[in-house]
Amino acid sequence: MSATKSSSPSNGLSWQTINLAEVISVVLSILLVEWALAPFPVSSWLLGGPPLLAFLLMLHSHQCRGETAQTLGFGGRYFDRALLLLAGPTLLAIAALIFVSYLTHSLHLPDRSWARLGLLPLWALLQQYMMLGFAYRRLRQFHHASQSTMITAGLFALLHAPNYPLMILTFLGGLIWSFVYERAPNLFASAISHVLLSATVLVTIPEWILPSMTVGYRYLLYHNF
Amino acid sequence: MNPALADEVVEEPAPETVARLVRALLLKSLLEVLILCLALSIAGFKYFNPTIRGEITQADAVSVSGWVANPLAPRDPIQLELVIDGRLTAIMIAQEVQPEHAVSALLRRGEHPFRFSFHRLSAGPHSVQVYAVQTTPGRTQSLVPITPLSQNFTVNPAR
Repeated sequence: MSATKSSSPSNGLSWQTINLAEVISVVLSILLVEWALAPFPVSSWLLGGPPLLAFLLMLHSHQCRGETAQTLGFGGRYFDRALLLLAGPTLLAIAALIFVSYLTHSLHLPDRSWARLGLLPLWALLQQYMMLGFAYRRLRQFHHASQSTMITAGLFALLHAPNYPLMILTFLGGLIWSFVYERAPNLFASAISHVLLSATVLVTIPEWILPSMTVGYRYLLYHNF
Repeated sequence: MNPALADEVVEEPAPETVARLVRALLLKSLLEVLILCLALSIAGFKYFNPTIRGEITQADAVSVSGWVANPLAPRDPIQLELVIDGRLTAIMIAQEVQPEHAVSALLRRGEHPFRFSFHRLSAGPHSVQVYAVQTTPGRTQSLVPITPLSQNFTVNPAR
């Protein structure tokens, strides 16, 4: 994928600039909701506006570049290979989290846990698509795999600011998922790993470490400092 | 294991593709700015637009009187704070509907009269303002001046 044939300016803008602008634009849409719109008592329709626009932009971008669902990682291609690569780190992380909860006696079912767990697969797939199917692919076109992995994981963690325990976890998750996506680009396998890890984090991490999964302004609003 | 993503070859796009993407980015940014402006306007209206209206009809050396109304809650009492020369001087609850306005209550809803009495002010210029305590939607309470400008008057030296 790094084999972009040339980086000469087209229409005054280089292809790299467009890639970067797209990633920044999508990230800013999420940050806009988390930080700038969340404090205001506005309807959820309005809050959903920027993510919807980001989603439309991503679809438009795929269409312009001729990327299909299959090439992005929706489908059976590389599924087995990705699952195999993810199995080790995912199971290791789950075992470590269960061990921590055993030591701290923190195994618990959080509020509305079934509703949250029910939505988790769709939510995980959406996040994996945005992080890997869009951001990672765009960054990968002008960075090395290791740099793209670091930047993608950093951006994924940034979107979970200022919930620093969650930022650390998402950064580590971002590293693993990006590493595997580079070798076996399949979003369903990454989403399965994401669901398993999120569900385990939800029920094992003690509340004094991870009081909630909220991010952005809402994290500041519901926590005393 | 061969990296799979590195095998993909990405072609440099045609100029019209770049132009389409740039237009999409600009349109998205514009719409997001509009959404932000709309959210700010709605929030600003909810938080800062004072629904409380009123008037200081008389202010002199020993008293300040007038009326205050909250059209959104015409029957609810309104807490008022009197500030003279920038200093909080008195607090009262205005809760009675003025009899003379009872007939036209539909037009001028829920006007509560108020009258503050205090020790005679010193001779010289003074400014007076009455603030109403308004509960904003959500969490906070704010002090809203019942008139846009403070009322200024001069107390003559007592004979």
